[in-house]
Amino acid sequence: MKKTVIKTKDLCKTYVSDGEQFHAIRNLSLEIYEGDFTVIMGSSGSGKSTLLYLLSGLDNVTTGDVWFSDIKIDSLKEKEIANFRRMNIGFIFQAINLVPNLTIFENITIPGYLANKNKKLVDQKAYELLKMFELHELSGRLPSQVSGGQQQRVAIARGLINSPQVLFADEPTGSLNSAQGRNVLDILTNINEGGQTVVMVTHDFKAACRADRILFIRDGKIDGDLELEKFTTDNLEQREEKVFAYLTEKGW
Amino acid sequence: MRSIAAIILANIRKRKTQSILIALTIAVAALMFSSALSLMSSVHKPLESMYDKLNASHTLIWFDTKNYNPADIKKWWESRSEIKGVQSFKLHESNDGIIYKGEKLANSTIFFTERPGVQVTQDKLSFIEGKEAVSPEPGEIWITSNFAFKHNIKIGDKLGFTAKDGKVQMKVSAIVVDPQFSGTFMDLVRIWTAPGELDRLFGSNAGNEVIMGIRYSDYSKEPYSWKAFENHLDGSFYGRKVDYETISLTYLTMYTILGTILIVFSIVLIIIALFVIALTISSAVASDYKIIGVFISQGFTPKNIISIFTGQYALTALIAVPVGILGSWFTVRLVLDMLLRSIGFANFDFSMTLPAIVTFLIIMAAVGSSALIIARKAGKIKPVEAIREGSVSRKYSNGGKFNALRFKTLNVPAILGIKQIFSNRRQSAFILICAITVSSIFTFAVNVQNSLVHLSESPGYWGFDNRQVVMTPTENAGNLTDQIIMNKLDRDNRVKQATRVEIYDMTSVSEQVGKPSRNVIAMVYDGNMDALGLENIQGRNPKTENEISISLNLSKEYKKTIGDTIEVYIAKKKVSFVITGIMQSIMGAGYSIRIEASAIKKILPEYLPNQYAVVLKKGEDVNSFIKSYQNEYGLKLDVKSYEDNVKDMTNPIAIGGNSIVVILCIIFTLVMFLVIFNMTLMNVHWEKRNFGTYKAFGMTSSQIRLSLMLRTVIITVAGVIIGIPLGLYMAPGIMRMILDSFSIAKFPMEITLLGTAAVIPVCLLITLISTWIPSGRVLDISPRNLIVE
Repeated sequence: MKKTVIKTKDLCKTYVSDGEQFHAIRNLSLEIYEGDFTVIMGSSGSGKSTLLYLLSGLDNVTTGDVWFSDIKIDSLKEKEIANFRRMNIGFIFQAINLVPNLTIFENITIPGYLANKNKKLVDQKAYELLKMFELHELSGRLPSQVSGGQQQRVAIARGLINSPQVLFADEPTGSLNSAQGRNVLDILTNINEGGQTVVMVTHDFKAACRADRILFIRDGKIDGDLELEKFTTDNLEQREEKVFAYLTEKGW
Repeated sequence: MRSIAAIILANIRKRKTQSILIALTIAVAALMFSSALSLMSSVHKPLESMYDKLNASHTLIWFDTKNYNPADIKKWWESRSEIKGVQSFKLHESNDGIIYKGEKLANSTIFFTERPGVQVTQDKLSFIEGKEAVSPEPGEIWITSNFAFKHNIKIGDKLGFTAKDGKVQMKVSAIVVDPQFSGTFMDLVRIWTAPGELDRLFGSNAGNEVIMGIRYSDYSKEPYSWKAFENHLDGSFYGRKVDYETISLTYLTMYTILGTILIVFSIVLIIIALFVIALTISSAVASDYKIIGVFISQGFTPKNIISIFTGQYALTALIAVPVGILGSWFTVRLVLDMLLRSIGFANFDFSMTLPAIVTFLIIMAAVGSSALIIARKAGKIKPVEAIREGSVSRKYSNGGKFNALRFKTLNVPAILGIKQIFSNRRQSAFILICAITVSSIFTFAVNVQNSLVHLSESPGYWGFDNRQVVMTPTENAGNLTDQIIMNKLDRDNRVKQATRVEIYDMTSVSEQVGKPSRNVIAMVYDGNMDALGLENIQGRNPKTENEISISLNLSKEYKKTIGDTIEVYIAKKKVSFVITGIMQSIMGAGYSIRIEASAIKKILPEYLPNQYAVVLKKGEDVNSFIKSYQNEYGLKLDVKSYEDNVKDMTNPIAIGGNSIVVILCIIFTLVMFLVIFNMTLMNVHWEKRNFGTYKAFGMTSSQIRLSLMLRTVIITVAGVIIGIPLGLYMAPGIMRMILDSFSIAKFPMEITLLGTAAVIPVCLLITLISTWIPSGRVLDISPRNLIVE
């Protein structure tokens, strides 16, 4: 029996622009399980990224509930939600969003310090992550002085510094070339193997194949939910065929 | 062209707050600059108008009728072609003071002058209050506007004087603008009386003196006329003279100083405004990077792009400069109204056309050219790169690498605040310069203000001695001789030192080194000058009959220094003195000398100075000492505290100086607020994406705002640390420059530690408010919005 880490009920997100309403998420209910590598897919404008921001507490819901473990995050105040983000989530952006005036090391450690953790331990963990992602020689550099792939690895390390319950990733390979993208996916797969819950939005078929579960979103609703075995390279061809068939069925 | 105009207007709308801030900074700069130019160009005009309206004399001379025949003197002047008219009045000088509501008011010389019983055409008076008449009624007096305003004397009030029969009370029946005596800095008090009153009041003592006014049709000929006059009198005039320059100084000094200060600081402000514009354009180009790329891809030329940015700020200036100029009209009007009030004009038409045009052209040119230079980089943007990358990659190579984690014992907002100082180095440097400038101006202001409050406590700097009590035998002295007074003072064990002194005004420096002669005040001492605390900025006090200390203005005018000789007329005799000291003195409008009484005795063997300067032993009470002498000698001896006298002389400087200091502080508080507000706003806009990222990993808006505040606070503290010593260092120099016309080379700075320390919280408070308000924009930043971008 898998443990639920995120649960939503009747989730709605509506944007108002020039007096017109746009329903990005409509009465969506789902559960995300601990240790899973969940991928959210869908066509452009389907609401997949919006859903990710609502699940991670980066955006406010219009109506409905979001529980993160036993925390109901849709009703948290600014200070509480900030504290929630520090302690519970890591987020990887498509645009990477490293702070350009902080060094690689500072980009990783600042969220750790923010969580009021022992600074020595934070530094120690940062060094471990840098070593794990082969970034240790770049720690004193600025983001502009390293490649896009290296930047995204820094972003993953930043996302992991507080040992979050869930690591969210919004199209993490979207701005990278294929080799860099593969490297990032390998890292995400590896940390998931280590027990880290990952929720990733992607429109990349290869990336989707890394998932244990693929949620397909259409018009703000869940249109499909495919469960897969844990990713290994052994049966890759079969896995890809299965995912491809599923996605084709969904009109992807 | 239409598309460029549309984009310019859209940009101004988009950055509304920033545009308003820049417009405000430009408007304040225009206001100061235009006010300064207008004041400098028109402040003398009301005085000239008043002189024309009242047909006022340019030069006043007064003398004893025992020395010259007034009719002969008048006739000589009237015979000159450059002279329009000569008017003489009967005069009685008194040093006995004026009693008003039980208090002694004037410590300076009072000129009781008889108004003839007929209408005069020259030296007419302008009546501010009271009934206009040919002359006052017997028992009534007319007083000058400055004197009445200073002591709040109203029509119908009674003033007390020492007359031949003791104290008399006379009723004020009019308050008048007296052209030569109504200036704020005039230290002589004129009281107009009815015809025949001087004989009635002062008996045989009165009527020996005449004050004569000379009005020129061509004042530029004054030096030649005066030289001819002295030649006519065998070389020197044995009397006193006040010329138009000195009179105008008594009216206009404060306004001239205000104009000078405004012009200096308005230039500082224009430079600050240009920096703000430059940084704003840089920031705008960076944030509109992608849009500029799109514009270029759609056919805009680099010139068009440059026009958009230049036009935007030129348009802002086009609106702001006229607003500033309009504001300066009200400012100048306000300042001139103060002047007009003192010269009795209800209204005065002044033209600001030329200053307004000059201000407009200079500021527009400065704004336009700086915008053009900075906007050039927008024209160099490559469209493909801009559209693909979306934003300009900022260069953090040096500042960004600053290791803020060495401060990791601090909390995250503090670390990020420190980091931002070094990563936005241009902005930080500008805030630092601004903080240095403002804190040094505040330090300057607070210490000058403190010094002005304590001006009278450092009499030595102003050419005064440190006597505590001054005694003057009155009209009723009778048998109270010098010997009796000196014996009494010598025996009085409360007295540390008693010295005969006199302000002797029958002296003039003779024509030399191509400069015409000049009437000067001689400070005469019959005793040790050093013991009386008299100071020189160079050299020492005179010790023998042929030694002299001269004021700085005299030293400059006649190019004389220590060891040189200078020729001075004393009682019509030309005497050569060796200069032993150069002194500061505000007496005689900065033209005075200091000599031993023996120097006059040599010419007038019977001469004795007419006052007694008394220094008491430590711990003795001045008031009880004065009271005991007043009780003993009554009306025979005028005994008063000298501190009031020094205060009377220094108060106009203190009041004028304080107004200037307050204006400076208000303007630069506004400047600091505008600069930091604008910089913070720019920074929030610039760092929007990073702040969104901070929020995504758990920072609250308050923490981000705190980091912004810490950044400006740290820079401000650094600025204040540099600014305070700089202000202290510069203050005496600036004051010397300002007070140069008063013959002051060293301004006695009274440093106030508390006041100086108060500069720190004041600067910090301005910083906190001007950072906190715009940092509220952080509340609107959401990680979600940034991700969509």
